[in-house]
Amino acid sequence: MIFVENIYICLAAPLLLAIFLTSKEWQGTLIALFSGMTSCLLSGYINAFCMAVLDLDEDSAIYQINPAIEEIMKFLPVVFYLVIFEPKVKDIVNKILIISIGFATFENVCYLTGNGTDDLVKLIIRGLGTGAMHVVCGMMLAVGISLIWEQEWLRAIGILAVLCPAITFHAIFNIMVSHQGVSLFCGSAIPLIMIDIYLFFFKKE
Amino acid sequence: MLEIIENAFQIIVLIIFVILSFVFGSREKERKWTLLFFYYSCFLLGNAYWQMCLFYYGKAPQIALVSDISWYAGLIFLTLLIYTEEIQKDWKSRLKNSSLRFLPYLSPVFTVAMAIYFMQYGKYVSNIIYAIIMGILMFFAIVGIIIPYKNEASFLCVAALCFCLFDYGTWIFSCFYENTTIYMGYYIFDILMSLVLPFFLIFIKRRDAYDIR
Repeated sequence: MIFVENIYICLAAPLLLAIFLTSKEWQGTLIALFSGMTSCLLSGYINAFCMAVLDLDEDSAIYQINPAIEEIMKFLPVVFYLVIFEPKVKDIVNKILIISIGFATFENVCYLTGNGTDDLVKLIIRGLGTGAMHVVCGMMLAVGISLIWEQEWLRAIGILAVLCPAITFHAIFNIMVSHQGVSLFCGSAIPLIMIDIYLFFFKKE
Repeated sequence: MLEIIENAFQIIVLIIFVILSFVFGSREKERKWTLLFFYYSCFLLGNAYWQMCLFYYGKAPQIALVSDISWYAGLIFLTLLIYTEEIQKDWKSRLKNSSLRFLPYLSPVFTVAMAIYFMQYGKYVSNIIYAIIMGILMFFAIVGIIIPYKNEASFLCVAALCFCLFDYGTWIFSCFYENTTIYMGYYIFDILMSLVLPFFLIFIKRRDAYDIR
């Protein structure tokens, strides 16, 4: 049995120290990373609760409810940041990506602890694929928010509408990678390809 | 098998129009193209997820939370598109003066009645959310038809209304899944929905061409 709380404490403790010791310009990034990891931990609890309430097994929950819960939990620190600090669009994009990376990192560490470190190829596919997927979902949120946030009347409705592509993309990814063979390979490759397209065509903008 | 083929047809139509709305949006950089792109994308993702479940697991998901959320988002984007493009700022006063002012208020009555009917099959929260979103969408679609923008018929609102009615058609016929003959109505209405989808882009492009002239 993995004690995720212990893993969380081991990863979060140095981050917390760094938040207090670094300069102001770094604190925001570290807090975002910390928030991502915290969201991942809390998502685990909520996933387990929903599985029990809805009477779903783990294989079904992975593609039916986990994506929605994880994306919403990832998005909560973003909403807090947007509403309280009212940052510039560029800051929103960076913070969302860091939160997504924090989430993906913690998830991968828990996976590593639970499944061992023997199969390097599988870990590379898992690490890159899942990490890229969370980053792509974060990018979707970032792009969507940057489009809607300037119009106040759009904000409330737009948040829901922006969250949805991220949830669905995450769910489709989970379906593909939960099956071995070509499906796992393609599922892991799609987010990486999307990031490459973004870097090549849209990064400058 | 028929559901997979019919869903695949709808997905292909959506992919084409996601690409087209993206191309027009990146060229013209106007909000309506962004809203249209997000509308098509959300529907595409919801359908793609449903299709994935049918393909990988041979059945629809037990909890359709992911696809439902995508479809809610698509409908919200369509509502925003209708509201920003077809509804004038003084629509409330113009509606009061119209002889057909009672018509838009039939839409929430219709959607609530349908929600109550569908609740006998369960999914209470989902049905309530659909009733609210569809009620608002159909309300503004009917307002756009009654009080046309620039006195030109609002084909976009007509397309949106048709889309909603066909969607309700699929839901009604899906209740009769045990009777394969009646259930064919589900596929017919779903194909009709697929055929309405291109008209949103066509009517927006047509409106652009009209404004240029």
